[in-house]
Amino acid sequence: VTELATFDVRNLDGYRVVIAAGEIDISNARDFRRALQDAAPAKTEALIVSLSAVTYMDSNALAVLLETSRRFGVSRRQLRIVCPPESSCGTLVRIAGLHKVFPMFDTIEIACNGL
Amino acid sequence: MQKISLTASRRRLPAMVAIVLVAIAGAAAGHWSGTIDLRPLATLCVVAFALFTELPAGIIFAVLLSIVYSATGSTGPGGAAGIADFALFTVIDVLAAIIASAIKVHTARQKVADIALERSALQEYEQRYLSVGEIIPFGTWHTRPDDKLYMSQSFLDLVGMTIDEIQNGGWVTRVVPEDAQRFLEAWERRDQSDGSWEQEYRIRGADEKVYSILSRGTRLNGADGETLGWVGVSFDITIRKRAEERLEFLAEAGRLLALSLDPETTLGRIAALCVPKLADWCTVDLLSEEGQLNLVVINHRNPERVAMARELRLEYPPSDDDDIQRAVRGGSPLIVDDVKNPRIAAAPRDDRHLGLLRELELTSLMYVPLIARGKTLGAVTFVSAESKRRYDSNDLEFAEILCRRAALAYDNARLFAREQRVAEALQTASLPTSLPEIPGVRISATYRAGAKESEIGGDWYDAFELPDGDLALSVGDVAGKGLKAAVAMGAVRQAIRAASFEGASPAEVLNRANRLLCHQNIGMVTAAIGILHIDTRLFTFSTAGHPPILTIRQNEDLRLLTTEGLPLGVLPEYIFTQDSTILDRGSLLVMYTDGLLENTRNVKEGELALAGAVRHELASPSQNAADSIVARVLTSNPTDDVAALTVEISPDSFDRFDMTVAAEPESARMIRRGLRRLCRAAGLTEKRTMNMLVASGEAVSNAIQHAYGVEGGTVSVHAYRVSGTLVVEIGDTGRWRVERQDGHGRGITLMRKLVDAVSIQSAAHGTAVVLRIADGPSV
Repeated sequence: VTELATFDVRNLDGYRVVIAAGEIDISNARDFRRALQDAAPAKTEALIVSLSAVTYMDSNALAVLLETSRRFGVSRRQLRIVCPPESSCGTLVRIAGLHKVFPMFDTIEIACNGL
Repeated sequence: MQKISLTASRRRLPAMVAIVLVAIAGAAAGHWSGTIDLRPLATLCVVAFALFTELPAGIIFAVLLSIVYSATGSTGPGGAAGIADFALFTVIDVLAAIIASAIKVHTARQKVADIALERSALQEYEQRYLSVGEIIPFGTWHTRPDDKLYMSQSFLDLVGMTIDEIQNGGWVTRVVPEDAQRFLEAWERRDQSDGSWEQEYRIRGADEKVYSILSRGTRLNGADGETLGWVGVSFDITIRKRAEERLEFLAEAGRLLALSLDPETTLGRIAALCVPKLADWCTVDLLSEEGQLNLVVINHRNPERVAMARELRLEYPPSDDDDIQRAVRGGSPLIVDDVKNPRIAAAPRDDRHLGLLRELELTSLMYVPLIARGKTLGAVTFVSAESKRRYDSNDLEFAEILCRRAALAYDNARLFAREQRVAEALQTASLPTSLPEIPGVRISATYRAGAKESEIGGDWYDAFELPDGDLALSVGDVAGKGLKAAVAMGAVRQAIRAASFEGASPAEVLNRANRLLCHQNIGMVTAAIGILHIDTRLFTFSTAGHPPILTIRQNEDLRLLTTEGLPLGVLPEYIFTQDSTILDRGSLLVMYTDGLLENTRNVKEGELALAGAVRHELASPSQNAADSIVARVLTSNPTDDVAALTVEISPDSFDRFDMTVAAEPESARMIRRGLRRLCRAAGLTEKRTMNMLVASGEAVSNAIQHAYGVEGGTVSVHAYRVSGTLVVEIGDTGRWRVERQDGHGRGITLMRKLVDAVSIQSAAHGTAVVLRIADGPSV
C-alpha cells in the first residue's frame, strides 16, 4: 500500500523543519503526530511545519496541530505553520480559525526569518 | 539271493525236461532201429544235464542213462552191449557229468567274482555322487519309482529335519508363503514336463533365515520309457539372488528418490521403499537444531499396526543411551540381531512396554544414521517383526548404502526447498497485496505458478494509483527461473513503479527500466505498461517484446494494443514509443504474460482460446475476471507461470458514486477518491471540490470513530447529482457523536462552513449526514 503522506524532517538555519506531503486523514494522523513529536525534542526552540505539499487534510490533522501547539505553549516553544493562504490547507486553517492560534507563514524561508 | 536262484531253477526246468525227453527219444530210436550208435547223444545229454543241475544229479542221470541205453540196446549197432561196454559207457558218462559240473562251478565262481567287483565299483560311484551332492549347497535329491523323496544331508541340515519328516512333506511348510503354491504346483506337474524341471523358491532355514534355492532335476527313464524317478540338485542362490534384489532395490530407490524435490516426500519414500523388502516397519527420525530426535515418518507393512508402532515410539522415546542415540552420536550404524538377547538389547522399561514389544513381535533391529555432506541429519530404524527375519552384517551394509543415498537425496531436497521457499516468498512479496479500488473501474489480477515445482518464474502484474489519480498498469516476464528471476522481477517492477510515480509516460518508463536492466545486466525482460486516465478513459501504453494488450467492448472485435518495442535489457540506447486510445465505457482491458498462450498446442490456438475467454467474460462477467479468463484458457496446469491483469471500465457515465466499506481508518481515502472524481465530473472548482472532500471527510471520520471496534461496522456513501446540486449522503450504523471531544466535534462547524447545506438525521438504526453543494463552476 502506498503511503498516503510523507513527513520529512530537516535542519534549516538552525531550525527543525517538518515537511509534510500528501494527504493527512483519520488513517495517518497518528503518524503526523509522531513525526512532530520526534522532530521536536524538549530543547527545540521552535518547530516549523510545512503544509505546502499537503493535498488534503481535515480536522484530524488540525487536531494534531492544536495539540502540539498546546504542548509547545506549556514549554514556551513555538510552532510555526507554513502554508500559502490561498492553498486548500490555508483555507481550512482559516475557516477553522486556527490562524489566530499559531503564526502562519507563506514559505519556509519567511518562517525561518520570522523571529 | 534266494529269490534270484528260485527264478533261475524255474527257468531251467523246461530245459531239463527237454533234455530228458531227447535222451529217452534217443534210446527209443536206438532200440527200434538198432543200427545207430546213440551213445555220443547220451553223453551229450549227460553233459547238458550236469550243466543245469548240481554234480550228484548229473552223476545219477549219467548212470540211469547208461542203464537205459544198455538195456534198450540203443547204445549202437550190434544190439545189447556187454558188461564191459556198459561199464565203460557209464564211466565215460559219469566223467562227462563230473567235468561239466566242474566247468559249471568254475564259471559260476568267476561270475560271482565279477559281480562283486561290479558292485564295489557301483558303490564307489554312488559314494562319489553322494559326496559331490554334499559339496553343492544344498545337495541333491532324487525320487524312487514309489515317488519317495530323498534329500541330501545338507538340505536336511538346512531345514533341520529328518529324512522321515522330509518324506512326510514337512519341509514344504518351510517354503515361504509367497512361493509355496507356485512351487508345489510345479512339483506336482513335473512328470508332464519334457524330462527336465526347474524352479526357484525361497525356504526358511532352521536358523530362521530365508534362503533362495534353484532346484533343477531330470527324469530317469526305464528301458521302455517308463519313469523310474527323478534326480536333481538344489543350488543355494541366496547370495546371487540377494545381490540381484539389492541392485534392483537400489536402482528403484535411486529412481524414487530422484522423483521428488520435496524433503518431506523424500523421507516418506525412504520409509515406503524399505517396507516390506528390508523391514516390517521402518521409522525415520530427524535431528532438530537442539539435537533432539523427532519422529517424522513411520511405515508398517500392516497399516493397522502403524498406530501401535507410533505409540511405542512416542510413549517410550529413545533415552540418551538408547541404540538409536548412540548410532546418531557415533555416526555409525548399529544392529540388534535378536531383541531377546539381553546383552545387546535394551531391557523393556515396564510391563506395558514389554507388552507392546511382544505384540509388535519385535525380532531384530538396525539403526542407521542419515549422513549427508558430513552432517548427521537423523536416523532410519529398520525393524524386523512378524517376518522373524534376523538382520546380519550383510543387511546392515546394505542399509547403510541405502541410507547414504537417502540422506543425500533428502539434503538436496532440503537445500532446494530452501531456495524454492525464498524464491516463492520473493515472488509473492513482489506481487501487490491489494489492487487499487477506483470508482468507475474494476481491476482484477491473477498469478499462477508453473506446474513444475522446480520452477518459480519471474512473471508479475502490478496496478497502482498515481499521485494525480491516474491508474498505472504493468505486466511482465523475466527470462529465466528460480531465485534469480524472482529477484530480477522485483527490481524491474520497482523501477517501473518509481518511474511512473515521477510522472514518466509509459514509453519513458520503459526507457528508464531498459537502461537500468542493461546497466545492471539483469537479463532480458518483456513488459507491457499502460496508464489510464480514469475521467477521460484515455489509455496510453507501450510494450517491450510482450504480447499485445487486448481490449474489447460489447459486440465489437478484439483490439490488440502493441507498440512492438524490443524486450528490455537488450539495447541500452533503444528508444521506446507509445500509443494511446480511448477505452469505451463497458469495455474490458486484458494484459497477460505469454505463459497463458504457451500452454496450448500452438500460439494461434492459444490466441483463439484467449479471445474466446475474453468475449465470454465480457458477456457474463465474473467476480474475478482475470482468474476466470485464465481458468478458461488453461485446461491443465500451466507449465510456465502466468500473470494476468484486467480492467473493466464501468458502462455508466460518472454521475453518481456509491460505496459501502468497512468502518476503518483506511476506508477514508477510498471514499475521498471516489468523491473527488465525482466532484470533478460535476465540474466543481478545485477549491469547492476540496471543500466537499473535507466536509465529507469529517462525516466519514466521525462514522469510523463511532464504529471503531465494532465488529462488521460499515460506512456507506451515496453521492449523486440532482438539479444543479451535488448531494453526498454518508451513513453509518450507529448514533452520531455530537459531543465536542479533542477538536473532533469541530467537524460539524467546519462542515457547515465548507458546503452549502448540512443536515444530520439521527435514528435508532444509524446516522445519516447529507451534504449539498451547488455543482458547476458557480460559487
